[in-house]
Amino acid sequence: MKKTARLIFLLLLLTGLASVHSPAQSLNYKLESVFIYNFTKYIDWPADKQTGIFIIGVFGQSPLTDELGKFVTTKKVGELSIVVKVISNMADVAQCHIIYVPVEQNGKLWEISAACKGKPTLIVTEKPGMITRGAGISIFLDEDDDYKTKFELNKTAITSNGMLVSSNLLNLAYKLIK
Amino acid sequence: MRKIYLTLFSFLSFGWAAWAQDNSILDSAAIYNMTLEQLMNIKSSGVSSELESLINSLIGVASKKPMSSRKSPSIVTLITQEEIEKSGARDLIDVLSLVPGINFASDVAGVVGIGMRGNWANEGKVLVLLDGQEMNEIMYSTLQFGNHFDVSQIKRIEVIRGPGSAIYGGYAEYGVISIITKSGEDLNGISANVSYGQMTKSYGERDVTVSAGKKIGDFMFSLAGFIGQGQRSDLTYNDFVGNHYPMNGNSALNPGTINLGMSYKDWSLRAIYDDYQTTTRDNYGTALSQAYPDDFKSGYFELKYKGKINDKLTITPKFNYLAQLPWNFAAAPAPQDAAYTTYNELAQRTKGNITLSYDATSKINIIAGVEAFTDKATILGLDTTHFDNGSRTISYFNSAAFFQALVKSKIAYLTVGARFDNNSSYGSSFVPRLGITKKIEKWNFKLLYSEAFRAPGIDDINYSLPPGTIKPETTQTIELETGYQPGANSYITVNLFDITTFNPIIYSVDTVVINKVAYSGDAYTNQKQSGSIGIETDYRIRSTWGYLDFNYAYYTTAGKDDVPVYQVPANTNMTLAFPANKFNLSANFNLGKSFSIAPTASLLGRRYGYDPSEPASENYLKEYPPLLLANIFITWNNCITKGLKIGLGCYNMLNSEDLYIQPYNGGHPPLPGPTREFVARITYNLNAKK
Repeated sequence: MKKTARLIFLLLLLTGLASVHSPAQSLNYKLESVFIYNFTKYIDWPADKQTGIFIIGVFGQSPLTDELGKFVTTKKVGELSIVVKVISNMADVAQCHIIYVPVEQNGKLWEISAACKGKPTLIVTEKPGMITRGAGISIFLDEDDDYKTKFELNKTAITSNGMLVSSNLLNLAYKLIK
Repeated sequence: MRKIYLTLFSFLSFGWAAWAQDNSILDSAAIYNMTLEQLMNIKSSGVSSELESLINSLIGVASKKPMSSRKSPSIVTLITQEEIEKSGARDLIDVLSLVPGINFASDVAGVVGIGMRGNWANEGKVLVLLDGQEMNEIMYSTLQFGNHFDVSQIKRIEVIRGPGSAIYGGYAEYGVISIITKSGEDLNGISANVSYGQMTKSYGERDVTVSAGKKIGDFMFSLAGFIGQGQRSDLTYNDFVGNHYPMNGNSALNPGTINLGMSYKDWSLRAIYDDYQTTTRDNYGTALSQAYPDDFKSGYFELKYKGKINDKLTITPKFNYLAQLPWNFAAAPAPQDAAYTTYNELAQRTKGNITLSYDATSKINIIAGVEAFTDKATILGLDTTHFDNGSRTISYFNSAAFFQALVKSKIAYLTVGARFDNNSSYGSSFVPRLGITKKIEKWNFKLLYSEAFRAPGIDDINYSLPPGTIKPETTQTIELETGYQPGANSYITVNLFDITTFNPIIYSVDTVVINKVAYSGDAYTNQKQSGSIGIETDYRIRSTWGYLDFNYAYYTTAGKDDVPVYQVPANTNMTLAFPANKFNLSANFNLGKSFSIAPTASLLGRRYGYDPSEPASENYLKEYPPLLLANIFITWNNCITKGLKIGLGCYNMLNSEDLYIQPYNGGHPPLPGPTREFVARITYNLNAKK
């Protein structure tokens, strides 16, 4: 009888576990936009990119565009004013200092990476693992650490395109490819 | 027991939708001016409280792959440096006594050991790791507690309150206690700690620690030296034949430890010398005419390389060597002490381990490895005995392979693992494990099934009956846990456990009948079955005012205990020495920036043990009434100058009679513990520039 009661209890628990779906946890765009702005403090662009305006491009449609627009226009990167642009043509990618690739656009990451080859454009994505597919930085939620926002960084991908990365940023990366 | 299941199920069932999020920080403009470091401490739903950071901090002991304690596939207790320091804990007994399910009891020769969930666990059933080094001596696999391990150097303790053999092998059948000391980066300079405790009639301990450490680029080192003197008690010990003596002056607990850690890039080295000098007069129960040394000397060495082959694959080869002189009775006894038994044996273990960790995807991790070690024992000096091979030297070879897969699916986290060991003396053991863990906002759930084993120690084999027949004991454990976080600052867990141990290795001093053949004398035999079932609950609150941790543990043998020497004839639901019910309270209240006051207390339910004060007609069995141990400790931080800390407190304020009862019927009356003890501690940290 005791064994039966125990078995029923285990089955109920397992059924409960399997039937309950976690409410989706996703990146907070406001938080993500502040991350992206902060990256500009740790990365140096070559001299020819330090004139004019500082362009943060968002590839395709994303709520991040509005979040960035709410505050980066009041900020500067060095002496440069910041503008946020929605980029829809591959030919326009390389004009950006930073190009943000939403998760829905990950299928075009190789193409974006090829378009930025040799150009000082930092590619930022929002899915872990993308730093092995051409991105310089991937922002993600660490579900093992209470859904805190972290980032992975591929140093080679950034420096091979002519940008310099501060060691402080390297130390903060959750995962680093040198 | 049915009531317990129903209670837990009710707890699981209510309030599935009771989660609410604190989005205030995300809604404010302050976030725009935050640094990356600050941003990385923010959850997608808001800032983590101190408690959330604690309960979600990464735990390495449960799975080799660090995971948050709420998702790790074990029932875990994390003890922080802050909790240890503020509680004023004198030693590891004070720290671990506050963990649900852990109790301490008397073995022989003045040694106090550990019990887990109502089971005597000191001989090879609980593994203690000090900076990754296995502290169990390898002759009998025992541990020794009491002014032994230096608590002032501890950064954190991760406790698995359940089996860990699928990862750690034959000493981790009922639990794993992983002690992590301060690294060079933590120390960042020089530190000194002096503590003194005064019991009613004698000092309790007078210890000194000096440590230094620093991180310089890729190089880091830490070096800590701990030396002291202590005494188990200042009460009177009474044996069964009418002898008695004062414990003060006859129960020395004198530690001496040097702990060196070094690392350079992917290489790390650890060397520990542990010279724990104790004296005993209680021997195996009948008092000797004088106290004799009973020393435990050990040296540990580890060299490890963590090689990153590529982004997904890490290979970690490791070499370990240890040499021990445990239970070292090497004195010349007085003529009237014929019961004194010389024991002077050198034990050595040489071990190699290669572990691979492969991140197949961001959701799948696989760990696999092989391990091999040789145990060698040599009888020295005055000891005239020999091993059962007729020689004064004996050795065994053990090989093992282990595997673990961690899958982070959307439904739940799944951990599947197993370990296979083969020993040249006692054969093979195979222990699989399965863990399903799930976190749903403020709730978390764990369903764990583990098999585990206890490897016989070298002298368990040597003293086995019938000779040469000892086998590993095996344990099946089922555990269920649910955790709920009612608010940002509080967290409660409830867990059930069901432990069944088959063929337990039992030490007996009386006649044992096996297969209708009677054997007598000190011996180790495999007997039929032992185990327990029970419930543990832990409620934690943490806020700016301080913290409070309240926990409760209950066990019953539930008819699993077929081992006569563990049984309580008057109460078949309990085992000797261990209370079925225990409450613990650990709190700290911050009084301004510099002061804190920390009350801690344990309330133990009634216990049973054999005691000479009871009439022989009752076979000396005694019921001990509930015991309350209440303590308080006050800390003054940055006293007079920065880095200076002074603590004052009182342990066992009520002067309760704290006895370590022998958890098996081995002819040893209870060993007295400390009386009321006033404790003073001074710590000074001189930090270097970073």
